[in-house]
Amino acid sequence: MKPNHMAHDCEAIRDLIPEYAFGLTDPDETRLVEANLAACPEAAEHLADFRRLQYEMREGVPQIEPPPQLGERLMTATAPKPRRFQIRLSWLAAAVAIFALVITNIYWLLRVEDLSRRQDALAALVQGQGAPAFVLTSTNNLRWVRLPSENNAAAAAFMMWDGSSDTGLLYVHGFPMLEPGKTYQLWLTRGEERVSAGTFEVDEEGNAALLFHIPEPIDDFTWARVTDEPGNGSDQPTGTVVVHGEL
Amino acid sequence: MDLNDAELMRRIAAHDQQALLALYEAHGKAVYSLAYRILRNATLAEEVTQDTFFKVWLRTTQWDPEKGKLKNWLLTITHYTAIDRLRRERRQPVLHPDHIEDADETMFAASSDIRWQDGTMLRLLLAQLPKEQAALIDLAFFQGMSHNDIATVTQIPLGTVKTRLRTGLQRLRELWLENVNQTSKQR
Repeated sequence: MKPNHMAHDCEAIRDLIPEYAFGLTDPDETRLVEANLAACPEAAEHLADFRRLQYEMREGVPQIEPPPQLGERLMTATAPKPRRFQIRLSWLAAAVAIFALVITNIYWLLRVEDLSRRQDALAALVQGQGAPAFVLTSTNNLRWVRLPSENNAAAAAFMMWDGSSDTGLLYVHGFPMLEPGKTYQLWLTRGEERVSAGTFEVDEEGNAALLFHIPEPIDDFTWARVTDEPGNGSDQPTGTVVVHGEL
Repeated sequence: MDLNDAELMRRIAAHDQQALLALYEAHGKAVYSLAYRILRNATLAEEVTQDTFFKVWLRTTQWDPEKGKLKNWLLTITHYTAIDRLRRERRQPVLHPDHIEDADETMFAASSDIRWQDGTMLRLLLAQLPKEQAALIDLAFFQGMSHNDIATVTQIPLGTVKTRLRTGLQRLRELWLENVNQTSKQR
């Protein structure tokens, strides 16, 4: 910047200093002052004067005694806060989630234990039915459904089958003992068609296992049900449905 | 640098409540008085005073001893805090155009619980300014008003507001410097 231009700018800046000091300049004027103040000692001196004057104005206001309790309130406001037992919502949500996770894990652990126990029982029950049962329970393509009872909460059945074969296994528990001359019969249904998959008896605890073979892939069927039937079984279901479920 | 102030601020930074209390006892009155001067309301002035010391406590702003006295810094915080509060409250300024003729009396009149300790010199200086200039300086400084705000409130043309303010501030500086120089010579 040439000296005469600098002098001209400094003069302009010096004229702006009173308003700049009191925050009255617009943004452009403020930028102009701040950009050139260092190069304009006279303007800087004026600004320093105004800053001291402002201090005098602040300090020179009529002095009033503050309310006596104001100091106490300040002490109270800045006192260390006693730690209170507070649970943030996020922590509460996390605790609930952990609790739910633990409960779920416990449930599934119990289920796995229950299934393991039933598998052991099943293995014992099917020992007399040949090696396919063990092949079935060890397959990687195993499918299974639970067949619940609508009328008897204690009765339920699990049906397992290999998706690539026509062999299945039914395991039932909680079934009532049938009167002599009656038997349980498993049916697979497809539309109006009912195909018998075999009959079985339950032990004194209501448990039984049935390894069955049917001429067609089990995946072709949509429902399974167990009924009580007379004698050695029926060609079509005639008795009461004990359990049933969708495959 | 005042070593006591520096020590006080060091202790406050360490959250020493007694140091904060000492700071309040030393400067609380000046802080409250400035807040009251701006807000003209005891409750709001109390809140601004508390806010000011709370800012110091929380170190939301830092005092640089090289840039000025602790009290100056405290009063600057108080000023801006009070102006912010005033704008939030959207209170009407104390001065109204009708009152400008009596500006020097209304601006600095002491109520029954107000007594002058300092500021006598400044009052005298302001009294030497034309009343309309002193009134506009008051609106700009103690009410935080812009040129436009002042023009709206006083119904004085914007150009006139700017001229009066600039002239008044320059004259106030000259008067202040003359007074400071005279005081220096007397010592």
